[in-house]
Amino acid sequence: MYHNNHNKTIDDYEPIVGANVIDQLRRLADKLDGARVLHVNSTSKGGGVAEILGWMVPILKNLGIDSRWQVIKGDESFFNVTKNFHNALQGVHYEISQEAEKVYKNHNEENASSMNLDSDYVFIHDPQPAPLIEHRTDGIWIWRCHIDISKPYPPVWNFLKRYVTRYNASIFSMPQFAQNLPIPQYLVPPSIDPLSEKNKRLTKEEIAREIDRLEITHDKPILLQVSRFDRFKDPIGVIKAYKLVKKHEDCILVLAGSEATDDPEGPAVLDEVKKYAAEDTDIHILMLPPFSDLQINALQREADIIIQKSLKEGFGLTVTEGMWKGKPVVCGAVGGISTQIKNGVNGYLINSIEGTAYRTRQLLHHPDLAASMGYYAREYVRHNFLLTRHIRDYLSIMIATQHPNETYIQV
Amino acid sequence: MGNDKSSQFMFWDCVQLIELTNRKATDLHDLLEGIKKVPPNSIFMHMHQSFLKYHFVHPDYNNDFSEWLSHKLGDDILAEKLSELDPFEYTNIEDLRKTMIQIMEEHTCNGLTCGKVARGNEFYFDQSITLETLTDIKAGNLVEFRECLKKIPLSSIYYHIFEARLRLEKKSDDFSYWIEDSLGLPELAQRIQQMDPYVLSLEDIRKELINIADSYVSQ
Repeated sequence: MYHNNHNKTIDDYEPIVGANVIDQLRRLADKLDGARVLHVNSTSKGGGVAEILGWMVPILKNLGIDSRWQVIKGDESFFNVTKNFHNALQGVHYEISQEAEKVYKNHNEENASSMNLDSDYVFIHDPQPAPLIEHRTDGIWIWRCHIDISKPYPPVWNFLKRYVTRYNASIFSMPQFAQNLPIPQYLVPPSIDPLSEKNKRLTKEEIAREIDRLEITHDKPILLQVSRFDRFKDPIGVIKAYKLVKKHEDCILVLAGSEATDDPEGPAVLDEVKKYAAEDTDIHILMLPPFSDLQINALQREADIIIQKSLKEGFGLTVTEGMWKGKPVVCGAVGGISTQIKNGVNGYLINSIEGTAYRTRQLLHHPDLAASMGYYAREYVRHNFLLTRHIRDYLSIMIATQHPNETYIQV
Repeated sequence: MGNDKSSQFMFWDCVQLIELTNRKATDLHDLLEGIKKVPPNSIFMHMHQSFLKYHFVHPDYNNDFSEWLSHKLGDDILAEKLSELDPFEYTNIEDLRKTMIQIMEEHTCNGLTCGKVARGNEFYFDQSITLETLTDIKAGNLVEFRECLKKIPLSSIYYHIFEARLRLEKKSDDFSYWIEDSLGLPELAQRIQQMDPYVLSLEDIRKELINIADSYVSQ
């Protein structure tokens, strides 16, 4: 079982979200008092899912829910197959060979034999552990899909669907991400933890110390993209946009990412990015070790503008993080990013390299606009994308699954 | 909502869980077909969920249909017509649905259609599941009621004003019912019923309720 060193209690969040929010969570949790909840995903580090489970499981425990988090194990062959599934579910053509199918099934069988799946509620996150449903003995099983599967490569989706339809319910981050399924589909956007290392308030000295360690000098505006080195995040496109901006305004570009054990393509993309950046000393490419949350926090707080030029995106939690730090964000109008940003109010949505450059230049030349966008960005996150709302939705789903077909439930 | 009729008003709170329907609209025809076929709680949700959301400024429209028609499809005429619908004139969702269909059919009959929205701008029909929870906040008289109004969550105001009246098919909101029935103040109850919540935010409604209560307490 994976353990996280999260040591906050639900009361620690009251100054941020208010007493009424905390009271509501307690009332919902009381209804589920003692329920056994298991979360299963495929990585303990890197990416939004692991981060969410890192705080969710301890906070659920703090609310009186007996929650556990387990991570499935796999070798390189397994994660190559699941990475191909991941890409295919987002539209990339990929033919599942018999060998790939066997690798996928066998790894899940092996994992099931070494896991304790006995729980009242089991949340299976994303496609990697989806076949664990074949080993259900009891309880309510919910498939939590964090990615956009609205336009999948059909053979791969049809293969996965055989497992998904056996769950009691499913959860998607946006209606646009979902598929037509015969099981209930709930809408739950993801969230960030405002008290985590990555999002907690930092002093000027703490920020300066971390930035110094990363050997970045803030003597000109900093543009920052934080994301895995993944082609869907378009790091090369970010460099192209930076070069357009630099024709008018001297600036620094920081591309910061960290390794994820379930993403075998990362090193290859990183090499491409390094080659493209070539000898430009104002481009800082940072491959941070896992759990570099404090460094990422400091980078986001030090940056002048946060970019997330994704071509495809699940929800885009790095955008949420930047918004929570009160920063103006310039982001691709894809996936969950469009849900987070009202264009021109709490950030800019862009559709091209040129758009990225133009909006960045606008913000650099209009600090008042940048400040007001940052303010609205933070407030929008406070009301919609903090962990308390996320926990509320999960508790509500657990209760709702006890009352199938009811639209009005007295707790 | 289980208030003790003889004395205290028990404040309830609610959580709105959203479930997908797998139905979406790209044009007026799709929207009309959706409104005809989705469950009642989908109509209710799209007419009211905006109240529970954070807005940078007061939104143009307080219902999702008008918002989409105006901002995505560019059909401002229909957006305005649906925005002027007062759901409180209906005691159930099916009657409200019939009027919406009638307005939309008359509109499309006149050939007033605006094509399809661009990909990514579709209207997604969702439906809500409401979980109601009892808070420990309660009032036994008007002074206590006014004090409670200051501290209850906005979702409690939403529950007692909107959910109670339309979804639960009651003839009045919970506040005015209790004030008339338990406190014996029909004039005050009537003033609350005369509020126009569909052009207010929940915070505005809270202030309005406190003002109305204040005016009686000071008498």
